[in-house]
Amino acid sequence: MKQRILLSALFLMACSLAWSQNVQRTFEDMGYRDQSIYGITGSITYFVKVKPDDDMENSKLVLYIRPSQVLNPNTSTVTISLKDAPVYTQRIIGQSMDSLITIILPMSKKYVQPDGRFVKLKIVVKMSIDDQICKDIDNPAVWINIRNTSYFAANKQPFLSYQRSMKETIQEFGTVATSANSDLDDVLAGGILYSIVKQNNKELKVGTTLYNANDSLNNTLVVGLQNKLPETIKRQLPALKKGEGLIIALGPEGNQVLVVTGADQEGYKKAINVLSNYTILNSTFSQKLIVDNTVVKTAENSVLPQVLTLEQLGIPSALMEGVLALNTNYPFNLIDYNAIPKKLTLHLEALFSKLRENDRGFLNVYLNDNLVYTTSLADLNNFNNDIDLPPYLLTKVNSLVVEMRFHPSNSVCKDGFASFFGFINSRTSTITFSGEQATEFYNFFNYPGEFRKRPLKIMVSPQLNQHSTSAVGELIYQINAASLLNAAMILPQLVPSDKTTMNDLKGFNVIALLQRADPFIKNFSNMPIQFNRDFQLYKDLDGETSYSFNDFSNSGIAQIFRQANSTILLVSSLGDSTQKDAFQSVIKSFGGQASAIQSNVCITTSDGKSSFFFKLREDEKLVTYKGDKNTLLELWEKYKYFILIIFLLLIVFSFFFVRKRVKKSQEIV
Amino acid sequence: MPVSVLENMVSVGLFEKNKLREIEVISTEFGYCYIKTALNFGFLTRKKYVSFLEEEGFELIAVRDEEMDESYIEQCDLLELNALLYAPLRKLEDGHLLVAAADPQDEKLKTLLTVRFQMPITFVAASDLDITWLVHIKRGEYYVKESVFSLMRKDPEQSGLVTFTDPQLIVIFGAIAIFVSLLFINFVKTAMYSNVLFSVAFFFTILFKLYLSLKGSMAEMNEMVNKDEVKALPENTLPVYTILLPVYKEDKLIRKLIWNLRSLDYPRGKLDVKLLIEEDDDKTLNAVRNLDFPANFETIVVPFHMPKTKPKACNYGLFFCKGEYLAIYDAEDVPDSDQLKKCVVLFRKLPDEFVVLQGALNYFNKNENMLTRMFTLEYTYWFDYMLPGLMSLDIPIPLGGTSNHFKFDKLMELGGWDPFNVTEDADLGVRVFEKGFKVGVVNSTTLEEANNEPFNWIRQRSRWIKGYMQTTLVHMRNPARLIRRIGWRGFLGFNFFIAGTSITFLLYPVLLSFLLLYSIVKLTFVTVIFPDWILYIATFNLVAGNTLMIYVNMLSVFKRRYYELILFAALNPLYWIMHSIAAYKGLWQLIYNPFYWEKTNHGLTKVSSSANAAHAAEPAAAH
Repeated sequence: MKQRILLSALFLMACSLAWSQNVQRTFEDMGYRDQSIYGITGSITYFVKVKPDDDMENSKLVLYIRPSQVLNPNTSTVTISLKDAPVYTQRIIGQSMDSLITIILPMSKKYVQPDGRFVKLKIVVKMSIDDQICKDIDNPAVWINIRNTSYFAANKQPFLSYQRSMKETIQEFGTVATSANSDLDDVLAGGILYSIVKQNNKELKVGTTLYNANDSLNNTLVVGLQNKLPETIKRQLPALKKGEGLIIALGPEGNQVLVVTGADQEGYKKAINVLSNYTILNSTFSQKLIVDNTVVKTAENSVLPQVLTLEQLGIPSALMEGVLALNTNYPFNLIDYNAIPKKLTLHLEALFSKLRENDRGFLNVYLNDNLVYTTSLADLNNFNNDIDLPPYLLTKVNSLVVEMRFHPSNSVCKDGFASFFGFINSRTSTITFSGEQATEFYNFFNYPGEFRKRPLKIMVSPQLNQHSTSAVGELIYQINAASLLNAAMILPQLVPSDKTTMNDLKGFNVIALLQRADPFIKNFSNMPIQFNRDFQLYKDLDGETSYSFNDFSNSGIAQIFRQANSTILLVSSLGDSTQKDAFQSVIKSFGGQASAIQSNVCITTSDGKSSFFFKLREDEKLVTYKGDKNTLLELWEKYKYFILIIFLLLIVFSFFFVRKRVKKSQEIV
Repeated sequence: MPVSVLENMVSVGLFEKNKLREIEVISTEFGYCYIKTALNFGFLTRKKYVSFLEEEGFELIAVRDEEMDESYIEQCDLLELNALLYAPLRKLEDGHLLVAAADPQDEKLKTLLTVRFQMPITFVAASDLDITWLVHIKRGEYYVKESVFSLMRKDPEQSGLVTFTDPQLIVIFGAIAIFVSLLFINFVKTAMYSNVLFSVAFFFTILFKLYLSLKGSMAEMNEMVNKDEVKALPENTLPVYTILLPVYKEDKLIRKLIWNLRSLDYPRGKLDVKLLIEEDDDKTLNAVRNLDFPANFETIVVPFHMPKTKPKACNYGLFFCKGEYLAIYDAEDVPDSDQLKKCVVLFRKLPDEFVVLQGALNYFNKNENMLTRMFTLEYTYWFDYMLPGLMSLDIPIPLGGTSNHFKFDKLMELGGWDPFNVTEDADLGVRVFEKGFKVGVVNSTTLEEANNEPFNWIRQRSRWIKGYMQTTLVHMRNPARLIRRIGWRGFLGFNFFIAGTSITFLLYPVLLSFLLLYSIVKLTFVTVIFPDWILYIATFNLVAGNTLMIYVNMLSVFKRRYYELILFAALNPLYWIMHSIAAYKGLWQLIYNPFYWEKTNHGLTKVSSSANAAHAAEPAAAH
């Protein structure tokens, strides 16, 4: 009864909060999978991320738990701890297939960890079916599953009512506005803002827009030289000295704009440099930042660390208690890296309860659900060793699970049972990447890692300046998406294609955002598809034409290839669609999970709904060009019907000839 | 007083009297003069007969070079001239009519002619063969024209004189024009859908052949005539049996022919054997003339008339036949000795509607080289499985060129063979069905000489395939009528077998080259017109078709215990390439020279037919 009253009260409270601005962040969004606990006791710990503008007093945590249907409610309980203090316990009742226990936990500031960014949530369960606990130890029916649809419902605070850094301020916007006559500085500034916004929520569709002098802008990130900005904004700006840059939030609650500008080009560039400096952005808790001097602190030639602690992978150390499988998942992705490493070593340091006589205990390591290491824990109370992980099991997104599995002996059980515990030291346990497997065929798997290895230039067709903010932003976001690069941003150098030569590109890797008709394209002789000409691609298997130029009136095309010791990623659009969409769609396509496919050409429709990946090795000649037809074929195209008429005449002639022969053969008397 | 050469020979002890009595009986039955019976039924050698005449003072004249007043011969009927072996030449100055006769001492004939011509007769001796030649040339015109035009006059729709009718030409060339236009408009789709069409057609052909083979293999369980039935056949009830042997320049085979005929288990006096030779075939005529042992066949000379084909010669021979049943053999054939008797038994056993029996054909020189081995495999499968299968399904059976046994009266009713069709046998098989009659298959084998020389093989095969094309064109002039006459089953069977055969061989190299281009050269173009799903059908056809053909060939080999040929069954795909060459040659000739008879040279084998015949016939007979 008490439980029902509590639930009802929570429900009413939840309804009363519904009016306010509410954002739900599921466990899945936070990177968690559905997790299960097997055995008579066990626990799982979550670190739920909170944001500066989350109003903790009015937020809640909703947990969905699916229990085994045969658990004994009288002896099975689930206990929730927040910040290591128990806050709620209830019996586990699961009667049907779709039984789902919903637990709603009102939040409070007191549950937030000292760093102010996480809530530590621990779910502890005790489960049994029989009265005799020993019988349940190895019973597979003893389980509980915490769904990753569980969520944190955050209520937002008013804009000015809380402290946040400049970076967090930027991340509260969703649109970037550049001048209708943007130059590459505008594109770069807009792109950096775009990437910062997206870092906060990778699913967010960041908008880009253009402004004119007379426009009025709301809730927008605005970039541009002071004299280009709309009059309404210009009026609100403080006076700037020559060579000064400015980052400032303007406007009343609900109608803010954040402006990145400069008194002149020099000042503007200083402001842009600040945007790429996480240290400054993270440590500036102000609505205004005047920049009179900056040191460029971008990671031009960033090499990712070869040794990562498990904590760097995002999972802090936690005590695990229970019997049977006590496991922790350390997800990591190789998007940060250019290629599959030659060797991968896990150094694991763990402590655990010593086994009693006849107890059995094992340490298992799984890489992408494959058991790659197992050892007995008998007579040990700690583990400190290196484990080689087979690199061939690696994909771009990987899961490393460390499991301690304890099986108490029956005799122990008779004497009364105690849980095991284990502790993996995430700070001293590491993964070491050694070497890179040689890349012979450059493809999207090499992206973005390859473009972090050397200084990067992004070359843009001048005609695209107005439309390329989102594309450049998406690229900067992807190149900097590696979780370990937070200290410094890799900032590409933007160059116009009409003022660049191939010599200028020496020593750089290049991402080229070019119009289909840009003359610079002719310099890229190693392109898998010479897409500036009409082309056809043939499918490998059945030989059907899978793509021809006319098949898409609006789509983006991306190709990755090597030329003159540089890795080049050429992005362009086909057809006459909104070029902004075409560029953005194709960049999202090859930058997403699909890039795990070993392909070097990607064609994506502007709406992003269809993507086509092709693996076009130079020697396979899977591409044909209309212009490549030999003279004979061209003649054929031109005179096809004329030749047909000749053929038909020949057939008519043959008809009369055969007829004559037939008649002649009948002349027998 | 003796009234003929034979009686004179008896009187001087050169001929046995009992043989003369036998000759009298046969002569009476056939209506021949004694000397014709003696020379053509194996009683007397021509050399002995000539030397006796010369001893008697009758020098043989070269009657073919003699001056001739044709007004006298025009008063005579060819049948009589041929039976009594005389030829009126001219009136002599003394008022006598000079007549060349094979028997210048034949007083009965002299009396007959004196009455007919109302003048005294003076006989001069001439070779029976020369007289035969002369009378057929001088008086055979009517008969030869009948042979050529009779079918066309009676049933022009069934005559192959018109190779392509105008509507057929329009349909064929219209289809080609549409196909070419579609290729120009959309090459890939047209090629692809054509592929589908061919592949599906091939697929059904394979299924149909499999079904037929299964049916045929069931039919083989039932022996149609057994040895006891043959043994129980009373000799005195045996009818006269005509054997037609159309030959052209087969002089080397004449001796073999006589031995093969002698081995036939059929009373001599009931066997009416006609050797049909062409007017200009002096080689064969002289080979007969120079035989130093008695001939057991009658020579008929077919006057020149286009087309110069085997069916025309056979039609001509029909006018002189005496038998109730009639069989066709080639000169080199070695039929089972009891084949004629088996046919008599079977004709009597089967319902009246069965008017033709087809004997199985096989080869005595099967192991001579690869070609003869392949030929043997093909024939074994064809005659041991396909024909019984067709028969059991009541589908028109394309008769095989020799070892056809007919009821003579029904054959005449059918109008004989189409002289313009170079596979007159296949054509006749269809006509038999159209008239509501049926073809049976007799469990007796005739051994032939397998073609052992590739060019000769292609010549022969090009004629066969051309003939199949002719037969298709003739009977498909009016498909609706054909369906009415032979039913849907017969119609489909006819198209699969007669029409399908030529088309298959014409297409085989095209499809094979696609396969080679695809698998060896890896030409992408081929993959465009062969999408996966078509490729699956085509591959199934290729694998299943070849496996099936190899399998049924192997079955046939087991049936006849030709175990040494088993491995050669796997060479069928190569053998078909030769078929395709022949098919294209046939198609060319169909347009350019439709009635030209590509002569197959016989006697090229170095294998003795008699030795192998005994060996080859044994297992089949034992089966």
